Amino acid sequence: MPSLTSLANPGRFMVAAERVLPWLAALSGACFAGGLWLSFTAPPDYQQGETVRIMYLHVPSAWLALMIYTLMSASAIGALVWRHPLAEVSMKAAAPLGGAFTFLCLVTGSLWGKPMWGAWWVWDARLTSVLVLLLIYLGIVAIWNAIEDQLQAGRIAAIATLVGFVNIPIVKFSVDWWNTLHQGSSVFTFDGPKIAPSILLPLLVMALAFTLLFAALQIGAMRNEILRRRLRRLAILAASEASPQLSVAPFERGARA
Amino acid sequence: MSFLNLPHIGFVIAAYAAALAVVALLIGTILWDHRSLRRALAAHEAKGERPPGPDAVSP
Repeated sequence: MPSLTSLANPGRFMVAAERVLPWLAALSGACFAGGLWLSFTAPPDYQQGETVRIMYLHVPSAWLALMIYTLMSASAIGALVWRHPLAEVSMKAAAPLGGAFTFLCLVTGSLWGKPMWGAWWVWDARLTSVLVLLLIYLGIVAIWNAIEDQLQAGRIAAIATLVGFVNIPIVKFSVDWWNTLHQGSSVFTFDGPKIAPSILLPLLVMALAFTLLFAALQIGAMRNEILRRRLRRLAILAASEASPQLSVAPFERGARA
Repeated sequence: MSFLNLPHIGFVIAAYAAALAVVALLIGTILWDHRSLRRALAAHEAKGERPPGPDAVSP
């Protein structure tokens, strides 16, 4: 069985990704089928009524929004400290995915908030810090797209990711540090989950489905990024062969993976 | 009471539709990107160009 360090090589990663992706996709699909069935057969909540079913999308998206950013931060450390090309690839691939799940978290939260709170949006500490998280994700995606030299873009994106990590504990503990309209933690508490098992089970199955989906999307996006870098390198080499007087060194640095 | 007459069901349907749209967009974008990258790499390889280096093997 290949070790993690041996997989930390773009060529070997591509081979492993080809094998793992169909299984991850199938497992995620199966979990979604089970999770959706449980979500719509679970009884309505005594206070929230039918809108509790929105929680089966909102909570997993919120968990993923935080988890993906944490993964991006770990990758940023790998890219900055060890200069590992796969860490950089992972960081770049995760940013739009994290942004998409954060957006989904905000949209589903808003769709739950209107019937339950009577407002689409309130400037509550939890909601505002998640909005800031979305803006950070968008900023990091913009850095990757705005800077031509991918090596420089990687360094700036890694630093921005690590600076933005300060927002993660703010999102997580905002409901404890401030008086918020948003409810406090109800699953991961010292006294165990505060949710009835009939609601907790679909929530956990949907969370597993979302996590597996993210794993499949992340591997797929990383595979694409490795291919894009190979293509870029080929294009640079073709250009240098066509015009040998051109120096391609500054451009080639960005295509090293 | 039918499913569509349940209170606030419109908000529930809208949330699931939004989730479906976001997930479909993510999957579609990644698959489309993969196909176009593979096609572009195949065009280079057809011309006999291969990326140099130890990780250059196209799987």
